[in-house]
Amino acid sequence: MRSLLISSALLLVTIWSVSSGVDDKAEVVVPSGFLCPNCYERAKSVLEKAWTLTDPLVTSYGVLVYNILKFDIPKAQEVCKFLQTSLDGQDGTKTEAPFAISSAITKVSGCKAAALKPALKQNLDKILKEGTNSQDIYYAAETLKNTGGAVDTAKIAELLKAATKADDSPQSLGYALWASTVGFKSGGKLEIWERIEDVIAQADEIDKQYLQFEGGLSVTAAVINGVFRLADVSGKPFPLKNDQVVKFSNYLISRKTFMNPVYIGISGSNVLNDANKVLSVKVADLFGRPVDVAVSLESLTSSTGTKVGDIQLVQAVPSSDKKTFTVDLKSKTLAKGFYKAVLVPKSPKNDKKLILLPTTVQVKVTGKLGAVTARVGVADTDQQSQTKWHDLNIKQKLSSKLELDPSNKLVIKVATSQSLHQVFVILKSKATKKEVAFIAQPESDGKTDYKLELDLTSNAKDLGYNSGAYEITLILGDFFIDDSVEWVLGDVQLQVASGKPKAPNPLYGIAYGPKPEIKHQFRTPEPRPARVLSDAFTILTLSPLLILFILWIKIGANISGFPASLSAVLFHLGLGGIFGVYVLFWIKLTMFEALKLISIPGFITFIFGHRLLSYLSDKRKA
Amino acid sequence: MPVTSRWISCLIVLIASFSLGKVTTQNSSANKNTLVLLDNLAIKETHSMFFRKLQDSGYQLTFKMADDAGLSLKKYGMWLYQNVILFAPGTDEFGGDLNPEAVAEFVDHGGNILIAASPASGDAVRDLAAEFGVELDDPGSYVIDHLNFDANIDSGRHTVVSVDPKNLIEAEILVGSSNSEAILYEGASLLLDPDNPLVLEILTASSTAYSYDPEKEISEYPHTVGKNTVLVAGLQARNNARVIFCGSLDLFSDKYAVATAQRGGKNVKYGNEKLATALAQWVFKEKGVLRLSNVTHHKAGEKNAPAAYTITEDVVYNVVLEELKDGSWTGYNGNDVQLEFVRIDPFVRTTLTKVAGNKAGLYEAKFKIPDVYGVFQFKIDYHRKGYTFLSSTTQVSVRPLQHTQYERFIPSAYPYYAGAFSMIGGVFIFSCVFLHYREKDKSD
Repeated sequence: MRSLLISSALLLVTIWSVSSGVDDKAEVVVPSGFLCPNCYERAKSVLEKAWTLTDPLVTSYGVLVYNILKFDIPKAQEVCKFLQTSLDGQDGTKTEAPFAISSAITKVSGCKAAALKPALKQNLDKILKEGTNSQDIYYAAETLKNTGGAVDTAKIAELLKAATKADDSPQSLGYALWASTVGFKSGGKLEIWERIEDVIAQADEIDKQYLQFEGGLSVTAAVINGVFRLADVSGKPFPLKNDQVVKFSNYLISRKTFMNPVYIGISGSNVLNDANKVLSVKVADLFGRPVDVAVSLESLTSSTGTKVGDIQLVQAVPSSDKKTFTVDLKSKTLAKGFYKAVLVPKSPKNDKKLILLPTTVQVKVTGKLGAVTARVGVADTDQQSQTKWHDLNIKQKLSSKLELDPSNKLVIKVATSQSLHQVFVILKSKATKKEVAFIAQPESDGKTDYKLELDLTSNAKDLGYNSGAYEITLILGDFFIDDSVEWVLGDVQLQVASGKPKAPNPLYGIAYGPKPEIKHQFRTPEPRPARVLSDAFTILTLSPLLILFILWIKIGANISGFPASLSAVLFHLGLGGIFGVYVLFWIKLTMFEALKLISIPGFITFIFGHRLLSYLSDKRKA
Repeated sequence: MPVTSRWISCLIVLIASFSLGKVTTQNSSANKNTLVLLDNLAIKETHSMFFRKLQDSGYQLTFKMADDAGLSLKKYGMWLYQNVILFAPGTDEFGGDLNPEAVAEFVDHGGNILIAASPASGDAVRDLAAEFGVELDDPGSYVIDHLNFDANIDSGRHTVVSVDPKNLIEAEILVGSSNSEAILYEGASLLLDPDNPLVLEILTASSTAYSYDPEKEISEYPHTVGKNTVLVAGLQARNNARVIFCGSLDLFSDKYAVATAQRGGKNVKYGNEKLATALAQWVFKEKGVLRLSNVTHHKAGEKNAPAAYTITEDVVYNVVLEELKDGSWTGYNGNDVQLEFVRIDPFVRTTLTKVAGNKAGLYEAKFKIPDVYGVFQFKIDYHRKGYTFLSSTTQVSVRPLQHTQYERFIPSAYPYYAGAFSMIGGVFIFSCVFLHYREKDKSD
């Protein structure tokens, strides 16, 4: 809320103080702007919040600003009541609120502040007896005065002297100046007057246009208004010089009770051409109100310093509302260029309060581009054959696409009726949309025929060694022509000498945007023989066993000699067990599991195999 | 006392008491401490709308003169500010501890800077520009455009150019959306160092523009011509600190913010205010700030990450991507975030998809691990114009199949198996027959 209000006040001033500057090399300082009607409206809209009657401070300042801007205060009675109750709620530990509220009450018509509450009054009186801060002293004194209390001016002056001695910043002095005016009676002593010069000396100058104090707007405003008020109440001559007033007021908004600088400036465009040869001048005071003055164009000086002969004191014609004046220059012949126009205001009633300064404004006279022809030619670098020229008038295009190879040169000649600042040929690649600009130089100094030679070998680097279709555009531009032109000459097919453009190191580059996706290419398994084939070979592998059985049957193999002993049975079971473990090992067991398992049938087989075999050999011996 | 002077005193008191009471807004935020360096205090008022907008969005602006002898960005090893606005083109030398190296160090530590230059730029700004890969044109040179200039504001030198919004970079996050209004610009041209990949051309001039001293005839090739004329450049350092370099201080001014152009018989506001706000929001990291967290990966169908992956396994990768929006982290909406699976070179690059129904920004990618073993990284390197750089790498090892994991029985090898088993069977039976064969008596 607060920040909004600050900004509203700042806005008021800012927009006003920052209008377009006049030529800053001018010796005489003149007002650089005035407050536009828009600014009033904008300020009003920002202050709309004040009327919700929530924060007494905001409402108070809303009342004060509306008062300055001469807007009607809405719901005046409610506002009055709200302010009165808020004032009663103040205890005086902070001086700003009672000051603002009591000041606002005096501004609401038909509103009167009641007597201060004892607690508040006590606090304020205390400040006025032993205060050390000039801001607090001012607030307290003003509050007392607003509510009908008496103020001891002598005591205040004493306090202020001490306060400004301790703190001699512009801000402190500014408040001291104000405080001195509270309750001042003519003829009273004014020691503070001596300090004005010190304060003004602390101001900083900016761009030779503005004067301001460190701390910006508020401090500058505080000091200047303090000075004005003091001069006002004391009846002493105003202590600032004219140019200081203009510079300060150029910086901040303030109502000049003694002086009223008059703003003179070009309204609208400062360009004069055949269509419009009337200079429109705005004359106003710093609040944008019309002033009763007569304005004349004293002289018109070209940038080379020669005065236009037949212009001397041309009287400007005021409009009906007196805000704008027009100077008719239709009958004069003016060459293209910049001119300095000196506008002189005069007060018919000889009003001394108006600061009337001759103002220099810049005026520009422009014309048309006029006749232009272009010739586009293809030449050989070794100049063996004649150049083939294609002549074009303005806005015409080449009828056919020109083809050039590295042994050719592209030549473009432009003939104009005046010298131009910009005669550029732009080659735009149709493929990459990249543009390369070349500059056509005057063929000889001071002439108005321009020429560009584009050698497809030596200029290849400029084109990025990029062959292909290009579009040629000719740009003719200048400050003093109204119809600067972008003229598409046509298309060419360029075969540029080959080379390698310098590319930035890709290692350090950053590629913005998504990259192409990568899908991993899995290795394909090796091809295998057909299942039938492997099955056939399986059977083939098993066939010897089959043959064995068949032959055994034929020869009558038997196991009739199987002894009826336990060891024989166990040996064969053990052997079968070993082979069984082998099969399991093959199918699913790991080696260590298989070794563990195999130890059981292995042991059995070993013991009983030994017994069986010894039995068999004993039997055979027998 | 005349009534008039009393009004004035009231207004003055109003201004004084408010502006003296509090310079900054109360809304304090840890990373909104901003130092504003000015050539003169008038800039504070000529650019008040821009500053006010910042203050309204909670920035604590500290205004100082650029040659203030007490300038310092750092105190007792702590950075005093998160952001610096340098609206002091004319300064030849910064005051206090400030110099281009100190500013570069500030950026190295994540500080953001908004710099505005002008054709009258002093050495301080030029040196600073060089630190960020930007070269300013010679003093006195303006961007000139005889075909696109604003006749109302231009002084006659065609230096107040109106730039087509089509010349803005295509990055909504940087320049805001739906920019249809031209942008007013009066200032110097910038030339970007082609070897600095981090600088972006945010705004370039039209083809018809060039940069030269308007008071002089063109005798040599201008610093920049046409689209090569960069007007606003942006840089996002590798630590995501942001810098904007603008050749025109006026671009941010109140005057240009309220300026209007005739279009179709109507007065249309220029796009300056919008662009200035968008640029400030970007450079002070209100926009385009991303973060990445909660990287998880696991085999499809499982929940926890394995010690190592085996080749050709299906893997699921999850990550949470969030964007800072209006001060709070919300799920990021992007359909172009890519995940790479890298062993020196990327083997897989796939686009992450947002997990349906998840508002917190959970993204997912599913793919089959390549049949190549080694040490791999899940890698996200997200570089989009205007957004903070995201990068994340998670290292995993991918090993080959164990000997037990291969195919156990291959049909092609059945003859071999058959041979082995028939041999086992044969030995068993043969041993029986061999030991216990009894010849039939010939008598039988």
